[in-house]
Amino acid sequence: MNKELKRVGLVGLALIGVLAINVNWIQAGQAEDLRVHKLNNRPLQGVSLRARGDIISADGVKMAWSDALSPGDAKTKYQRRYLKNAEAFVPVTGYYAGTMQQAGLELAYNSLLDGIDTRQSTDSWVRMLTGEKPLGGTIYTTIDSKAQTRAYQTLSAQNPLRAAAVVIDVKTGAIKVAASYPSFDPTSVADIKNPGDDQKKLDELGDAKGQPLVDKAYSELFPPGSSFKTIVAAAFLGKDGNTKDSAVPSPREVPTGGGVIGNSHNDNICGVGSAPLIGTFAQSCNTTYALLGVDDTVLGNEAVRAQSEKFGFYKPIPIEQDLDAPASQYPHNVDNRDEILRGSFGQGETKTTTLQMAMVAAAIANGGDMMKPYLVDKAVGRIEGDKGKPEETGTIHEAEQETFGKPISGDTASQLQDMMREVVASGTATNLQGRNIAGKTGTTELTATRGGAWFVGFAPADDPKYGFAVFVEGSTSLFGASTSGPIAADIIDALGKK
Amino acid sequence: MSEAATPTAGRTRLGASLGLLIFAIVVAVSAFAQVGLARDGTLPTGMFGYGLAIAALSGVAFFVVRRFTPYADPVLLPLAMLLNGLGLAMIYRIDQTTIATFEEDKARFEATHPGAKYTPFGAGANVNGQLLWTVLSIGLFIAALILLRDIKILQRYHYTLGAIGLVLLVAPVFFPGVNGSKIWIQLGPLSVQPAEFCKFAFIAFFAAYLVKKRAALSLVSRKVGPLELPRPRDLMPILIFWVIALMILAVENDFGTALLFFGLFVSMVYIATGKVAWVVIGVGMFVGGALLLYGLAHVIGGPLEHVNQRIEIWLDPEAFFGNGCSHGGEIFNAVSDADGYKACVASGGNISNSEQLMKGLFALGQGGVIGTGLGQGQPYLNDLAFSDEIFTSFGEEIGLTGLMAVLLVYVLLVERGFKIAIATKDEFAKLFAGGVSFVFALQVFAICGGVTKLIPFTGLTTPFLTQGGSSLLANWILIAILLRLSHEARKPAPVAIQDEGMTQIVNLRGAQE
Repeated sequence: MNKELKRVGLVGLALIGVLAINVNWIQAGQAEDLRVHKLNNRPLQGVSLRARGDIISADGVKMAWSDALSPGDAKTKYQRRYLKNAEAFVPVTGYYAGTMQQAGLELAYNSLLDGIDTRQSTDSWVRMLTGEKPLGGTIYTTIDSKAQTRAYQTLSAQNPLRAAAVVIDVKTGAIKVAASYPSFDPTSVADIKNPGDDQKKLDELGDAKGQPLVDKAYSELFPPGSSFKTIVAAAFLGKDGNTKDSAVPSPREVPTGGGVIGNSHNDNICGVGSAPLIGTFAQSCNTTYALLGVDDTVLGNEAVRAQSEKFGFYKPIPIEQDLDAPASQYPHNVDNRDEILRGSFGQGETKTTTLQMAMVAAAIANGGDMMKPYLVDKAVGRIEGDKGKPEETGTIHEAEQETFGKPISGDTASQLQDMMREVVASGTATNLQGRNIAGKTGTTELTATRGGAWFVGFAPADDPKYGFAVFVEGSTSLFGASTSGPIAADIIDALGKK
Repeated sequence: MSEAATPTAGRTRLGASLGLLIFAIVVAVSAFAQVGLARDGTLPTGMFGYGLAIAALSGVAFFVVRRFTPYADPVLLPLAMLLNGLGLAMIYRIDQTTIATFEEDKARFEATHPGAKYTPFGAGANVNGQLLWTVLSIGLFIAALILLRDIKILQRYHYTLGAIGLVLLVAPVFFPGVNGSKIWIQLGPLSVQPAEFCKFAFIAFFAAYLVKKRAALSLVSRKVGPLELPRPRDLMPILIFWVIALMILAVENDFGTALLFFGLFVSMVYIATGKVAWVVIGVGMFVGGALLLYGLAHVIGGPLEHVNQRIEIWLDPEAFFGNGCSHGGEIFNAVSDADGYKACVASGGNISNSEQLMKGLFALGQGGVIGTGLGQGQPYLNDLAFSDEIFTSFGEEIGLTGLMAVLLVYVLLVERGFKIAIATKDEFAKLFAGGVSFVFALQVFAICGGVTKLIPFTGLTTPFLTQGGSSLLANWILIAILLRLSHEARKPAPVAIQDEGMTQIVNLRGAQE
């Protein structure tokens, strides 16, 4: 029997050996992935015992940080804090509630901020073995705090229903401004001692007018109004032989199944039957773009759809890991001609995020090269150094400037730039002359009493550095040129004043 | 291989045993100390109490061994004590009412779940209950050492034992199930898992049966390639056993126990006969039966679905996180509310939840190579961190390094068991020790493999670590039997009397003068 006993014994030991190999594979091989697994809510537990890292603006302002409630105590708890006018920065920082709900970068970079990011733990692995505690990492964002604050101020000064402003560095894709109105103070929901109050506050905010919890810069979709004509014009210019001076239809009205589509005004360009593209763009003739969207002999629905898609429609736009803007839409594949007519000048079923329109403007300003937008410049790990002072270790994440695509040719881009400059020179936004800014206005009628105002463009007008989109929604007395145009110019000025 | 296997035969090695035992106590008490230091910043008040209890129990056990089985294997008792002590420390650690964030967690829960009652993490971890069970177990261990002078008594009554085993096995059917498995007997406040005990009853029964039937089972009816098939009529017992195992599986939803019994049967038949054919037939039948049940479950559903769910969860745990609905092999999204629950049941689907498995894996991930340190992780986040998932709780707090050590202790236990089996002369004892050791290894494999997603979850207990009386009692009895066997194997043979002194001359005549 002994021979058999030995064999069976070896099988028994082998079983435990297999276990050992499997445990090695899990705890050494997969540990990192498991720690940041999407279903893993461990990081949310006992989180107040960890020193969470800072979120810092491009010009060095701390937007969010954590304070020890009883410094010096090894068992201290940490309270999340936000700077004084944090309302302005909510679209960037998001919030970190005492109930452990999170949003924005607080959510997207949660594991890094908490110091449990895999990249950080491997970075300081040796240090960990020697007992040094990894602390939460620091995040350096692309946001310009002055311009961001200015954006929020100018938007809220309009007392709108909802409003947003996004500014993108055209060369890199860095988001310099991402403002949203209405907002709230994230400090008011961050009290770890009173999660009950935090929850109440969150519930209130959830029901509040204008939905402050949902940022308007890149999380919500709005009809882009006439600013969408930029994309239709780009599609038109993309066809062989078309230039900004090509003649396009410009009737007084376009009959639809229910009523007619008219222009906001008729002059020597809108409503005369046919006019050069640049003129219709500057004067924002609705009939021209409605027809371009349905008339296959001139352009047609498919061409506009294809152009929209190249600009990034129909797919969520990745900003950071776990932070996407929802997909913008332009109607296609529909039998309803009216829907396409309306959608082609940015009304009806056409919906975009403010970020998407800023990206369109930035691509035009950058000679047709569209950069992937991003919010985080770099993230740096920290450990507890001598005497418990935090020490930065190494960079564990650095933004890669990636090309998002090339939706339009360089030639098309320069013609569109001319057309946008023409809007200010002789078109719908002559009030912005002297502000060194160019763009397309948009005024939408959402209901009989509610309207939206857009200004989408680039600055400086002669040598574009920034692409932007500003959207304000409120009463019907709002206009793209007079409401959103000056706001855009103000934000750009704030960016220039370094 | 007899004396050569145990070069120390004839020496008691009690000194070494005591040294190891003291080391085991120190490790366990240190674990308690570390938990307290990490949790409250001070040595826990309970540490001395628990430490003293562990030390006292060890001392008593050691002196009983010294008195009754001095030649027994010196390593078994320290190993078992070490695991038992560590298990106590972990259960103590999971009892969460004193964690730093207790108030905060409570407030947060009440904020986000208005009206619901807050159950603290680790609710159910009961270190005092476990200590009581440890005391009882050591008591039973001592009783077994003293009373089981001769293991042959088990051989003599093997039919009785087999019958008792069957009764124990079937008993839970008549009691309400827990978590979909009917493996418990409720006796007032106590719930016992009879399967833990019927293991031994069956091992004894089989060992005795096989000693009798060895020759018959070794007969070859025909050869198929390298396989030497047994006579068809000898297949009867294995068939009966197969049916019994599958019935357990189907009715009690206890995949783990069925696997164990099959493992013990196959391994013991092989040890007795040396015929690989038996192994092939046995394993083939078990796999075949499991597949048959798996297939049937999809068709007829009912109680069989539970085993199925475990397999489905194992294949795709993420789909079942926070309740998933599986229906005819298709998986639907998480069912988080009452409506979804109703809809799932209405469609004939089954709800299962993989949270326990996933959270266990997350705990392992959190622990990584060196662990968070005892008292510094969050093993209590998993509902059954102190029982089914205690292996992963250790994984989190003592890391890969610590788990390897724990597995090494298991390896040593198994290795000592087989060594004892090889060292004894008696066939029954050989079979018994071999079977017991293999089943022990298989059980460790099944439960730890289950919680680490190596195999589908089996719901067995983790020997000596798990909170729960049945498992502790049964495993301590096992240690007692192994000690007794090794004592019998290693004690020096009685020495014949050589010197009878000078022969005396007796004058018979002088007596009459």
